[in-house]
Amino acid sequence: MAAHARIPVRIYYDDEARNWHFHVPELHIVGGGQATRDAAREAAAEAIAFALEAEPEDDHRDEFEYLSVAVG
Amino acid sequence: MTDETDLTDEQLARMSGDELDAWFDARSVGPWEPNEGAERPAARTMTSITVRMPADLLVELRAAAARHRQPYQRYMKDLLMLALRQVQAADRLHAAPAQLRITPDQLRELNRNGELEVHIRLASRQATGREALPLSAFCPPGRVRIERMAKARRVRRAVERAGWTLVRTRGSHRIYRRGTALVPFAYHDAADLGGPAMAIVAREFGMTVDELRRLL
Repeated sequence: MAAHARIPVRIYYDDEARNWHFHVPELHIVGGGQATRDAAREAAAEAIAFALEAEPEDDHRDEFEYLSVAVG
Repeated sequence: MTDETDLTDEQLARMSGDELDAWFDARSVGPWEPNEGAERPAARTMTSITVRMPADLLVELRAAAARHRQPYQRYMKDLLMLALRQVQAADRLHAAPAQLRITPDQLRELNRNGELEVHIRLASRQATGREALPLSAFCPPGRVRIERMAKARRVRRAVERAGWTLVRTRGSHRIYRRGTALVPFAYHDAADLGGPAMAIVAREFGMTVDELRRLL
């Protein structure tokens, strides 16, 4: 079952570097450097997917459980 | 006139402009006279050329030469050589950019204002072993704007120096860990980060912007 969640992403323009960046506070993701806002939004989605699909390392695996949560 | 090979003031006064030029060409080495006691170089080979120039520039040149009590063609050649040396010096500057160390106070000023005023004092040739640069329009400006940007590659290296370990990577996506904290860093190495982006990156990695910049 695919899970869907709304994650706030801050997309902002860096006027010194003259490019677009993103920040996902809840997942502590930083990234960007794109030429357009749309490109930064796309890059943010990819970064979130990468961060969420990242599995904990072996030495911590036994500390995690995987829950399926339905909301609403 | 002290040198026996030199002409007297009277002889000089009787010479035409062309004769004066020829005489100066034969004894001068450039815009600067040789030091006292220095060996006089041999006369240089001269070539005649025809140059078209704006009439008003020529008038200005003649007037300036007269003020300096020099034949105007000699004066013009001196100016050309001086300008050429300055351009060559400026080219050398571009080939070897200077590095600048700044204090923590200056770094704070840089972060606050986005620029820092730097006064450049040219070192003497004796101190540097290099040719002292003339102060002119070709010299670097007295006010230098220091870029606050950094490439993402430098930023992630700084993060690693701060003790963060790369635990997972795919393409330009990286996840760093320190203790139990994980921070995904999604920048291509060549991406530029300015002050705003650097502030957010620094905060996520538990640093101030100053601390991050010091590690760059």
